[in-house]
Amino acid sequence: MCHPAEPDRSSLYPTRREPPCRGALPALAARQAGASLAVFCAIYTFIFAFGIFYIYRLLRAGPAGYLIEPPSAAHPKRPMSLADRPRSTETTYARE
Amino acid sequence: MIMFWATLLAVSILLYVLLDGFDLGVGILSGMTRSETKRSAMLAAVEPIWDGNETWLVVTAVILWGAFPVAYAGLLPAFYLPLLVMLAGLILRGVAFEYRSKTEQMRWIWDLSFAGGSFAATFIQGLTVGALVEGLPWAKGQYAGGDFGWFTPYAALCGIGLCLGYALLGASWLVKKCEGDVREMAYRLIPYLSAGLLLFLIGIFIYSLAEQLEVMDMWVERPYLYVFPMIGAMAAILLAFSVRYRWDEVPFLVVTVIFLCAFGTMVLSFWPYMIPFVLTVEEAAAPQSSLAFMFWGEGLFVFPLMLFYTAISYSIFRGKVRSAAGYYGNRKAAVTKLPYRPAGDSRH
Repeated sequence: MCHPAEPDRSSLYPTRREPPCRGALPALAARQAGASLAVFCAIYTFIFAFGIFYIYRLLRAGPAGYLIEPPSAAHPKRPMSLADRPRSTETTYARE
Repeated sequence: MIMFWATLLAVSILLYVLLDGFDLGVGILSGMTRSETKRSAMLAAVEPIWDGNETWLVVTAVILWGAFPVAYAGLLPAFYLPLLVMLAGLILRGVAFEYRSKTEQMRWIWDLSFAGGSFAATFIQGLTVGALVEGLPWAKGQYAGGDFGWFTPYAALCGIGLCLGYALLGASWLVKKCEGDVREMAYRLIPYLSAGLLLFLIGIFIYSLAEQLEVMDMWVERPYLYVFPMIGAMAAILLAFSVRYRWDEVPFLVVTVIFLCAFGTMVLSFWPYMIPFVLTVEEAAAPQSSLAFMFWGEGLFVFPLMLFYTAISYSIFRGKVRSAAGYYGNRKAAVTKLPYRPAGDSRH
């Protein structure tokens, strides 16, 4: 419905059809809002399911390549450096 | 102030159509090739700028909502379901950019999402314009067409026409940005897409005459509107020459001129109406105080900032795309080149 405080501008309409209401709120039906909620839930479920799967795969594969391979010409610059330890001890770094 | 906001709305829509138009077009074209190399190169041509292009849709919606709330309130119930499909398409194609480089076995899902989302979004945009041109059913001041009152053969034809138009814009962008096979493929497609678009325009003109649409009266009242099709025809001739002689920079500019002509024709055909033959721009506008309030935020700050951002991003990513690795692929490569640093190592 038009708001009672709205000015009457009916004389301004040079139209061949009836103008819409001056009210500024879209008249959405509940089923329209429900449909949009269902579609967005479905799409984001689809997207997040794949996103979580890709993150899981990354975590399971672990770091690789340059992230774990020391440079070939690397040498320790201080006596207690861990840089040249064998790869099998990498998992203990975080606890040291 | 009403004219200021009407101008900003027109500029926003135009920028959206031109900028997102070509990357939606590239999306549609990406579904027409089976070559992974070509598809990667096509995506690389739009990857750095596609999301910036789509912000113009947000700006358009905000201006419509804030400055022309009566039009917003009238249009949203009418196009709620098609807009929902359009947004779903835009979401899926956006995610496809991120996800397709994360997998090889399931890449087809994201390629399908990218091409399908681009097609759906484009088709809905064309369909919306077609439904507005044909006229929506109104009763007691509100949309009265039901959930599918917007779906007519004329509107569907406009949807297909815009798909052809965006694909043409996308092909001309690929000519501008790509090299090798993709550039040649785009050059080969441009004549077919142009011919398809011409057939569509002829078809839509005959349909409009047959249906005696009200917009045809405007063309009788305003003969200066014929200037736009004439400019468009000259641009089409220049397009044919640019394809013939392989002028890489020209097709995109020429197709942009064709779109400008089409947009100018539409705006001037319907002026002063915002919803054709139902609601004028003045009637749709918010109160003067609201328009003035919006001016100090959106008008004076956000809109110029958006223009500046767009100009900067296109300036940075100018020139040909040399690698098929793309923006998202390069980012992944950059991560793998991080120097080795065991946990607890504080060396610099």
